[in-house]
Amino acid sequence: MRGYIFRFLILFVAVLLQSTLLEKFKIGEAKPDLILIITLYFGFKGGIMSGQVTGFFGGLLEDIVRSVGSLTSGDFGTNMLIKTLMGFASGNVYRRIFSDNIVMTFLLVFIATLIKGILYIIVVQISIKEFQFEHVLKYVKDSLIIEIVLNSMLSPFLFNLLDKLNLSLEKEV
Amino acid sequence: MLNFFFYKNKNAFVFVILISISTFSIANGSSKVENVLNEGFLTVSSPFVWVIQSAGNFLGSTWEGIATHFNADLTEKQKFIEEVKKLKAMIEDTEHLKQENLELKLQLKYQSHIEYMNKYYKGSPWKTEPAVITMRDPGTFYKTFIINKGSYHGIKINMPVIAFQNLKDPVTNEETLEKVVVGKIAQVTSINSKILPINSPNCIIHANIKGSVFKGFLEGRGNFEENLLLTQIDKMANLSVGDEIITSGGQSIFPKGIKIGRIKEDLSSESDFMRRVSVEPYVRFSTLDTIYVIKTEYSPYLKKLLEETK
Repeated sequence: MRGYIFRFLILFVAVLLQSTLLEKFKIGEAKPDLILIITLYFGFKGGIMSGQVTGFFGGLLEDIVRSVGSLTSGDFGTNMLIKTLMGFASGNVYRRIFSDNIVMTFLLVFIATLIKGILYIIVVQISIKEFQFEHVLKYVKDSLIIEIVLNSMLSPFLFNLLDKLNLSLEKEV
Repeated sequence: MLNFFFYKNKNAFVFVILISISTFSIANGSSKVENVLNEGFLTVSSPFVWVIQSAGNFLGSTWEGIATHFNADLTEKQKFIEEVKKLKAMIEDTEHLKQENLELKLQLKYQSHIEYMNKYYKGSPWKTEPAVITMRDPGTFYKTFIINKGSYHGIKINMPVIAFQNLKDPVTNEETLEKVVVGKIAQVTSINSKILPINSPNCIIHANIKGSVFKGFLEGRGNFEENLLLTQIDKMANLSVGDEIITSGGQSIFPKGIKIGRIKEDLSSESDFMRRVSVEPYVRFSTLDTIYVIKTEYSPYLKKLLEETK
């Protein structure tokens, strides 16, 4: 129980940081996706259940901040869906690939962010019911590539921090 | 036996449930549920947002102070060169501060006179409420903004939101501080509100081509497209790239005459019944910090019409 409360608090703080402080550190249109990195961490370390539940609640918090209630154009649920899928996928990597190595962490997050970007494009294009190639190209050029680099570079540090927080929580228990 | 089956495949079952909830939300989102979640989140997060913002501002100014004063092992000549550079930077800063001061004075002047500048509807002046953007969309593109004012400050859903930005005249190249459309209020809690920006497909504004009688409906084009779409323009309209688009004040909650953007491209073809153009908005979301909410509401007739069409 304590573990889940701890995870929810981390996700809550991550969403707040992403919506406020990280705005000042944007490069172009991109900023690090802390929720994705946290989801991947709990998936790699804890397995499928851990990854998908973390992804679901992380995506839910993001969608809550994004949504505009009755004026929403069907976007509520986009991040929930994508992050749950990413959590599920990262959970499948649990115990199959050695993810404590910095280089491996970098590579896994690199690939995961790329997959997340592709999923995002697919879900958005389906929800608007048309394929807008120039918009997709703009998203990839102005945002996705930079986000992949930022996430990959930040992930070893964030993973290390989460390891220490997790360990101190386990010691208390 | 059944319990054992569920236990053995619990990951798959939970995955199916979570994916179903997410897909259902995308397909048939309940605005009531979203409003409740949103209100709860904003109420809980407001004090934390204030702390994070204050900490961010403090760290930023502290770092600047340390960076400019950290000159431990310089020779006399280097010190002299550094001193000259600092003085130059101070002069530039002073110029920048003067400009900022002028802009703020103009903003205050605009704020105090906005009631007189917007007497268009039944002779009633508009009141405005200034607010600061405290949170933005955690994702990549500017989908929503959250401000630090809510129903406690008299803000209601659908109220127009404007900002003051420097606009360059394409002919004279002169920069002037102008009111530009940002969007409208989409959700309100007691101390926060969410803005639906002008580039959202759900933000539809009735607009006018400046200097002409022809009007149309302006809407955003969604996630990846910055430019807006002005549709339903009469085929007889004489318009060209660069023409300014302003709010019409007619079938809209926005007062008349607030700048929106300029025509970027004519997207209509010969066979189209009505014309449509792409409009580049003036508002620059990346630099937006302070906005003004115009405290106005739909007329009772329009409100009733909107309720009936829902």
